[in-house]
Amino acid sequence: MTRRTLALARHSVHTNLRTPFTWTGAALLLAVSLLGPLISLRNHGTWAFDPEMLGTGFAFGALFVIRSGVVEQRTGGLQDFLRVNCISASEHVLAAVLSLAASWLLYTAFAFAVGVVLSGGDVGLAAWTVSLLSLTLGLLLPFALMVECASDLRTPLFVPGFIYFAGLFALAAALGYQRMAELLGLNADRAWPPSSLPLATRAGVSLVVGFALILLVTRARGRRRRQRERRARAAAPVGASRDGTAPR
Amino acid sequence: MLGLTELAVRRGRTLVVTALTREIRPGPVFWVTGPNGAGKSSLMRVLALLDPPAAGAIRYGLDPDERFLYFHSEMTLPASSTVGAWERLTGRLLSARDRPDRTALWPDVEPGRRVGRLSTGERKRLLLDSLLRRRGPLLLDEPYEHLSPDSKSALSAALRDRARTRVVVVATNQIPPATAVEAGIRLEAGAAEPLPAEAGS
Repeated sequence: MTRRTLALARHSVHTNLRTPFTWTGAALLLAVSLLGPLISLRNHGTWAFDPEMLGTGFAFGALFVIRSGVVEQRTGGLQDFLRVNCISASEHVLAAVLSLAASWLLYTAFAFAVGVVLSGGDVGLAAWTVSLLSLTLGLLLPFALMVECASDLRTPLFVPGFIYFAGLFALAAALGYQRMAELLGLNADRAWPPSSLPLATRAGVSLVVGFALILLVTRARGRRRRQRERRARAAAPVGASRDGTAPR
Repeated sequence: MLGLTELAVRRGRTLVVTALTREIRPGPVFWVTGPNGAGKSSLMRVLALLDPPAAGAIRYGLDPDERFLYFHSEMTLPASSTVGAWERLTGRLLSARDRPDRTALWPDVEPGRRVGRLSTGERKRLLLDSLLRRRGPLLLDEPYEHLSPDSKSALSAALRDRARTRVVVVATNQIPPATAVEAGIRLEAGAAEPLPAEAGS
């Protein structure tokens, strides 16, 4: 990892945080999560934290927040500017991976803060709920980046998110809820934290394999341009000045 | 040095440049002009190695750590970015041999200003400034579009200065007034005619 990669990732995070998408997603998480305690307050007269509503808000909000920003860079021509003049394609994609990971971590931290506040300071419950949600989201991150790299969709999580939930319902209908939960690693029990290990393992494998695949494909796609550059440099006549200065 | 041998460039299925042979050396700015659709941008993308040529060869005479720097008029920064964030990124992407300070192209705006609130010309100047701070030959496609007269003059001065030691190729259909064109080609209907010595006035 280079200093340039980190600098570009930081710039992408800075830009992403200022997009209307990010604020929309954060507002959605907050609004939907608030519905649980508000409904409880209206129906039972007590403020009760509802982890399921936090999960629903988390899912809706993530659709808008989770992004690396490469779509804006590509459609605005900044990607060409960076890749031709400043950094390699691999460094550019690695910066996108870091930016996406940062949006994931920042969003997780925000959801945790919301959970802690709405649960009246129950840090354990908020941490447990948000960690499961975040691990599930981690499973989908590489696919979101693939969508960003291949399309102009500015809310890339919509595609893997839709496929994930469609698959979830299809599996539950075909195999039953219990078997589906086992397959996807969703049968975690708060009373026994190691039960979240299967989900964590799946998320870890998805992140490592998915991002490695994206980097490899980027490298392979940039090979033709690198070959053209090598040929152009190698073909320079012997008399040509190496530093480009005019021959005297 | 930039050498082109029997170069052919395709845009879609149409050959827009055929059999172009030139040796471009530092000295004067090399202008590529022609009407819209003549193939200027397609040629520049091929020279920047973003697209392969339909035929022929390109030769670069460059330092090992140097590359041709490329800009086209549709390049812009994300609207949510800020001027200060872009300047910080520019500084970190420069190498030790590049120019660390702003050029005359840098727009006079506060660092906290969002890029989306800048004019098209100011956004363009941010990218041109970043490019001109870097060491190396230049391939610029329509760099004068949307620039104010002062910015055009500043850009012309920077390009003349760079062209003394590095190849500078500028594709445009609007050569700034009173520009002495010493080298270049005019593209039209697939053919490349040498530019007259005095044009654009």
